[in-house]
Amino acid sequence: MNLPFPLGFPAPTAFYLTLYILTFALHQAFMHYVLAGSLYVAWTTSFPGRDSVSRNDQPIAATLRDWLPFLLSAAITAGVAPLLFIQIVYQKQFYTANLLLWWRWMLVVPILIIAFYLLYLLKSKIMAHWPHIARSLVAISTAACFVFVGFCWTANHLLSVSEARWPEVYVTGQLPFTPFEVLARMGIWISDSFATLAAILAWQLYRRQSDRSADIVGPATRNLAVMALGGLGLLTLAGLTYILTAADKTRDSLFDSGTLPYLIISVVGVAMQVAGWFQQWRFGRLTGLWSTVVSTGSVLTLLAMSFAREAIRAGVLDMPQLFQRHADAAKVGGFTVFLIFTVLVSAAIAWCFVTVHRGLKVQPPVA
Amino acid sequence: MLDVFPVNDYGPIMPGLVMAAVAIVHVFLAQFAVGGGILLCYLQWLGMTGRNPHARQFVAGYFKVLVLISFVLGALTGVGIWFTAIQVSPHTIGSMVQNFHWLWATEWLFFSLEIVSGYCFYRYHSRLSDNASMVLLVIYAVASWMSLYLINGILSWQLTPGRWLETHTLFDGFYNPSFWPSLLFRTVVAMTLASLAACVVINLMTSVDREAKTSLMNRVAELLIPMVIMPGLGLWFLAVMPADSRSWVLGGSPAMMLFLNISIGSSLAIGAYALLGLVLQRLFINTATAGLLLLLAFGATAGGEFVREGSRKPYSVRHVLYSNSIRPQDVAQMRVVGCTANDPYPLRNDSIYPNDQVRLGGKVFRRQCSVCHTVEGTNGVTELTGAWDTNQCRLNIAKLQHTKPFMPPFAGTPQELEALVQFINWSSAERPEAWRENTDPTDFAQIKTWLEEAGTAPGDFKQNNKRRQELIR
Repeated sequence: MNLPFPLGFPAPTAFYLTLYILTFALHQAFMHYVLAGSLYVAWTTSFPGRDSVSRNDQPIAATLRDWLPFLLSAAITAGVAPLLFIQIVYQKQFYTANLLLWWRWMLVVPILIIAFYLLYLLKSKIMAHWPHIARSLVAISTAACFVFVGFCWTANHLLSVSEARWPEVYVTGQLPFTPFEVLARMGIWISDSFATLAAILAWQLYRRQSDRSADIVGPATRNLAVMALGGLGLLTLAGLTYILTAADKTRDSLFDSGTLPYLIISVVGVAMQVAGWFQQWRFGRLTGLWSTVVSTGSVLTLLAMSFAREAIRAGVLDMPQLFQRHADAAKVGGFTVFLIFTVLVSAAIAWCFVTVHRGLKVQPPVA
Repeated sequence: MLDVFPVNDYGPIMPGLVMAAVAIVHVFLAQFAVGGGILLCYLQWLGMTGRNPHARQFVAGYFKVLVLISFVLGALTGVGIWFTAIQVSPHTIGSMVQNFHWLWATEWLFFSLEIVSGYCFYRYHSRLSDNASMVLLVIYAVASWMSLYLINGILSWQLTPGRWLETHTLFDGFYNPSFWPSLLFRTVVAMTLASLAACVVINLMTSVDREAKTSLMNRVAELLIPMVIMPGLGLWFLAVMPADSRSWVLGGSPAMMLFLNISIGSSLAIGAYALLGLVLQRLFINTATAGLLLLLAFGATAGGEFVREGSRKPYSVRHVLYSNSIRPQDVAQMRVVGCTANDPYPLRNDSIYPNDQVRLGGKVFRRQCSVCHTVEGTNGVTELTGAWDTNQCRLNIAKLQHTKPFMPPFAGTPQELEALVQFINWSSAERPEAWRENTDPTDFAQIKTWLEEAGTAPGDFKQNNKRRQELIR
C-alpha cells in the first residue's frame, strides 16, 4: 500500500473506516478526560497534601469533580457511534471477541453504571463529611472501574486480531496474550489521556482565570503542565516499548508507507503540546494562544494515533475478505437522511448553547 | 451459509431470557425518559403561565430523577442491549445494523441532542428565564421522542418487514405495517410511565404541602388520559401482525397468551385507577400506591415486550433469519453438508462426551437449539422430549416445523439429527460414561425420509384447517 491508510482500500471500506476512526477519536477525547480525571481525583483525594488549601479543593480537582459525570455521559454517548461503525467494519472480529470475552465483557456495563453513580457521589456534598479513608476508597474505586473498562476494550481489540487462536480461547477461556502486551497498549492510551485531560482542563480553567488570584492560577497552570508533560513523557516511553516488543508483522505495519504519516503527525502533535505547555509554565498562567497550540497538538496526536491503531489492525487482518460486506453496507439507503439530520441536530445543539449563553446574561427568574 | 460464532452456555437460564431481562429494563427506562420530556414541557408551561405555582419546583426535582436514572441506567442499558444482543444472536443484531445503520446513526444524533439539551437544562435551569428553560425542555422532548421514532421502525421491521422483503428499500423496511400502531402505543406508554413516576416524585417533595401535591398530581395525571386509546392501538397492532404470530399470542402458545394477559390486565388496572381515581375524582395517592402502579406498569411493559419478542417465532427477522441464526434459504444446503461443517469451535469439556456421535449431537444442539433451549434448565430439551420414545424424538425433530409451527425446520443431515437424539437421550440418562453409538442404517434411512417429507420450508400453522377442508371435500 503506497497511499496513506485507508485510502488504498476500496471506497466503501475507506469510507466506513474513516467514519469509525473519527467517531472513535471523539469518544477517546471524552474518555481520556474521564479516565485521567478519575485517576487524578483518586490521587488528590487520597493525598490531599499539607498546603492551606488541600489538593482536593484546588481548581483542577474541583473542576474535575464538577464535570466528570457530564463528561462520562458525553463519552458514553460519543461511544455509541464507533460502536455502531465497528459492527460494519469488523463485524466478525468484534462479535467474536465479545463472545469469547463473555462475562468479562458483559461486566463493562454494570461496572460503568457503578462508576457513574460513584462520580455523582464524589461530586455530592455528602462526601465532605465522610472520613478520609472512605472518601479515598470511593475515589480509587471509581478510577479502578474506568481502568478495568480500558482493560476490557484492550483485551477485546487484541482478541479480535487473533483469529487463529479463537477456538483455543473458546475451549480454555485463557486469553491469548500476556499481561505485558495489554499493559504496553494500555500504557500508551492512559499516558496520552493525561495530556488530553490537561488540554481540555486548560480551557475550563482559562475561562475563569481572570476571577482567580495569581497564587491560585500559577500553581494550577504548573500542575496542568506537569500533568501534560508527564503524560507525554510516559506516552513516548510506552510507545517505544510497544514498538520494540511488537510482533514482526505488527512492526512492519507500523512503518508501512500507509501508517508512517500518522506516526509523524502524532510526533508533531506531541511536539506542539510540549512547546505549548513549556511556554505556559514559563508565563505562570494560561494563555489563549498557547492553549490553542496545545489543543491543536492534542487533536493531531489523538487522531493520528487512532488512524495508526487501525492501520496496524488492517495490516494484521485479511482485509480483502471484508470488502464485500462494506460494499453491501454502502448500498443500503439512509445516508442522505443522516446528513440532513446531522445539520439539523448540529443546529439544535448550537441553539442549546446559545440559549444557555444568552440566558446566563439576564436576571434569573423569581423562584 | 453464515459464519458460525462461538456460543456461550448460560447454565439453567436460556440466553433469550437474558436478552429479555436487559431489554425490558432498558425499554422501561427509555420510555420513561421519552414521556418525561413531554411531561416536563407541560409542567413548565403550567408554571410559566401561572396555572400551577408549584410546577417549577416539580420540574427541577423531576429532572434530577431523570438525570440520575434515565441518563445513567437508561443510557448504559442501551449499550447493554447491544452487548447482550451480540451475545445471544450476533447475526440478528448484525442484520439490523447492516440494513439500518444510517438510521441508527441518525438516532445517535438525537441521543446526543437529548444529552446536551438535558444537561444544559439540568446544570443551568435555575439561572435561566422561563422561556430559555422551555426551549431546552422542548428540544429535549423532541430529541427523545425522535429516538423512539427511529428505533421503533427498526424493531418493528423484525416482526413485519412488509414490502421490504421484495424491494429491500430502506423506507419500505422502516415504515413497515406495524410501525405506526407500535409508535403510537409506545408513545402512550411513555406518557403513562412518566406520569406514574411523577406521582412518586411528588410524594417525595418535601418543600410543598399536601394541597400543592394534590394539585400537581391532578395535573400530571392528565398525561394518563391517552390510555383510553390503548385498547384501540393494541387491536390495530394485532390486526397488522402476521396471522401466525397473532395465533401464538391469542392462544397458540400458552406462555405468550399468559404474558399478553398480564400486560392487558396490568394496563387495565392502571388505566381504570388512573382515569376513575386520579382524573375524574382528582384523588391524591401516596408513595406506596404510586409505587405499586409503577410496578404494575413495569409488569405490563415486561409482558408486552415478551409478547413482541416471542411472537416473531420461528424468526428473529421474519422470512430473513430464524431464531437460531440460520437463514431460510440455507436450510436445504445444510441438510446436505450439515450444520456443523463450518463450525470451527470444539465443545467445551470435550472429554465428558462418551463417543463422537454424542459429541456431534452436542455441537448440533449448540448450533440449532441453544439460543432458545437449555439441556436441563429453562425450556430444557430433556424435559420437553421426556415423554417421547427415541423414534418419536427422531420424527418430531425431523418434522420440527410441523411438530410445532413456531419452531424452525431442522437444518442438518440425518447423521446430525440422530446425533442430536442420542445427545438428548444421553443427557436425559444423566450423562453416563459409556454410551453406545447408533449406526443402524435403517434409522438413518427413516430419518432421511421424514426430513424429505417435512421439506425445508417453515411450518404452516393452518395445516389443521387445510386438513379439515380436504376431509370436507
